[in-house]
Amino acid sequence: MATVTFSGIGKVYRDGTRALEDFNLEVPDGEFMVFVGPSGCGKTTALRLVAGLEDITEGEIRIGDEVVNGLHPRKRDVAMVFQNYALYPHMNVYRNIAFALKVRKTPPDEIKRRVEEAARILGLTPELKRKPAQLSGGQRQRVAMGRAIVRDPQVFLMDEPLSNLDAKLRVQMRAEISRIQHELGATTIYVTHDQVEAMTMGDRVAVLRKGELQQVAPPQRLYDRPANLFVASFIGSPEMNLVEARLEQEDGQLVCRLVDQAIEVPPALVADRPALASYAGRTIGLGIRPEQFEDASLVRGDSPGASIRGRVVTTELLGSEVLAHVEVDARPVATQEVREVLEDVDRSRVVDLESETRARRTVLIGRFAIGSRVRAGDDVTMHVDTRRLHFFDLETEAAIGDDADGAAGHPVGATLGS
Amino acid sequence: MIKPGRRFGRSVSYVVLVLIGVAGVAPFLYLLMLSFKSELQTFDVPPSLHFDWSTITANYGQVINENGYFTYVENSVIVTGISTLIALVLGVPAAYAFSRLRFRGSDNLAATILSFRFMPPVAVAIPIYLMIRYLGQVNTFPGLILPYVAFSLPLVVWIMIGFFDEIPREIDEAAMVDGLTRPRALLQVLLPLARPGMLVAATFGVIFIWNEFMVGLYIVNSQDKETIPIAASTLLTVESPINFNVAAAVGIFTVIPVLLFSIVVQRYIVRGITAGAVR
Repeated sequence: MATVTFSGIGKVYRDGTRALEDFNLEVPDGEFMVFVGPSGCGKTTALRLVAGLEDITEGEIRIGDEVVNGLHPRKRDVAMVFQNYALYPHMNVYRNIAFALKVRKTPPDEIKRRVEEAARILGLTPELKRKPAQLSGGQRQRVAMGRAIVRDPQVFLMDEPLSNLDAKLRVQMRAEISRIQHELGATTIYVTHDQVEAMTMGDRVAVLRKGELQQVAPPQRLYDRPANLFVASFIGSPEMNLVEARLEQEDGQLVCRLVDQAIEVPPALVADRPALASYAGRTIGLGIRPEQFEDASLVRGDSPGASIRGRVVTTELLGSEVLAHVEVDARPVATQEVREVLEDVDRSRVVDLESETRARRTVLIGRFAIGSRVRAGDDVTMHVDTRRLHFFDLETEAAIGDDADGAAGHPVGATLGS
Repeated sequence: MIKPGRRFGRSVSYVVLVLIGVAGVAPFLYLLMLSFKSELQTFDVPPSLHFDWSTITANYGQVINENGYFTYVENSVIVTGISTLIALVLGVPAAYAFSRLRFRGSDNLAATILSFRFMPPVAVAIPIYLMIRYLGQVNTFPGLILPYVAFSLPLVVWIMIGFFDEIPREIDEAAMVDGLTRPRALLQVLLPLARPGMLVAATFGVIFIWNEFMVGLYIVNSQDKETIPIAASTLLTVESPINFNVAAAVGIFTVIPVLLFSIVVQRYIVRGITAGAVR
């Protein structure tokens, strides 16, 4: 097992497309690192550079202490799980898993022992004699995993290994891959476009956008303190509500003013983000996660300065909670980064965003407790948990007063002090 | 239970298939029957059916002993076999490179290779003859094999590019990450997967070379090196009219080796042709 280090990595494809720009990252020994981002963000390219399947244009990749830039894939001692599994169709499961060992001239008893061990871990023992075509999607995925774990390589590389599975199986395999990774303690780089996978599996998550690293942090930190609007809107489902607000100083109290309503910023938050005070008098992006909203009728006591009124557009009953779509007088944040995330989800969302901007009305999503009786058409007052408000500079799109995890370009490995 | 409508549709399709089958087989059966007749019987009106062992042995005996057709079959098998083999050995790695590697002008080069095949043998028979003569290979097997390889190579390359394109690149990549060099990945992992393609390419090559006449006619002029098509052309000469029963026996001789070859590879060919369609 080994540490993987990216130093100043750039990748330009032959047709001139730039896939990665000044990419710096250290994946310490044994870490489960997830690369996440919308399609075309360069995450798969970064992975293929480590495997040696693409040439590095700029910079240096080290596995352990060795610079691997010019090294053929077979000499890098990495194992890769491909999105389409890339099983050898003409070999049975046993031979698929054993193939790499056989190529490396491992003694036959050793091969047999390790293949059987891998098959046991993955529950493939009854399947060993079958060909890939006779297996289900989940079983094929396991064989692809088996082919990797049998090697005991320096690094595991996984390129969206679960994207071809149905939802239920995906949840199961997610847990299984995490378990196996912890069991083996292998340095792993896992690429996905699914932020739920990223959040549930990674020790740390690296968010990429257009070939640039946006933020590297443990999942919870990523969720609680997104470094910029891109990360804020990409991570979380339903995504963070983002509206424009004017920050004002009123009687020694910072207030976020929407069109005709105001939310007070608790002093503790201001103390935590000193830069915030200097934004007084300016329009900023205010971020509120759905679970920070609650139907005010369910909240004990009055909450002056911590509520927002609107009209319910639709509700989604989820059994354990209610998702309320509430239209509020406010302009949505419509910066480039937010648009990109919406576009990746669904192009029509960008059109919605534009009409909301024109109408100065934004639909916020609130996660209400199941006791809420709100229905479409109701006027509702939402209580806001103001302790966890997010603030963004609308010009730089960066989080205000958040500099811990380093945005693009920072030597991330260094800032972590590892 | 099959629905009545469906059963009717199926019956119709079987009838059509049987008719097509009969139309395909009929010429061969006619050829076979013709080869069983004596010279005079071939002119019977209406055509008659004969199965007389002595006539059969006489016809085939003449073809084998007097005309020495075993030699021609042997020549044809040698020339066709070696040419096809060389074309595959050269063409398969070339096709792999065109399918997987991007190098300067790779697309243009691939198209150029195909254009070599546009020229019918008739058009180039004389230049080829001159070149072969210059090499001192007139009347030799290499003199035949060289142009035949040149004719079937573009076909092999193009058929194989198609088959390699069907195999996901990740398979090669997985093999390389697993520890193989690219050439060994081709040899150990891709060739077994591309086998149907190679058989399709081989079949096209074999059929073309087996039937090729023009170039062979120029290059070979001694009887012991003649291939079947060239030998068969001497059945009809100015001084002797054609004997249809003997010609039919020769036809049977010509068909049988190719028929055997196709029967052996046909299940792979069918699978190969449909391989891309059902993925």
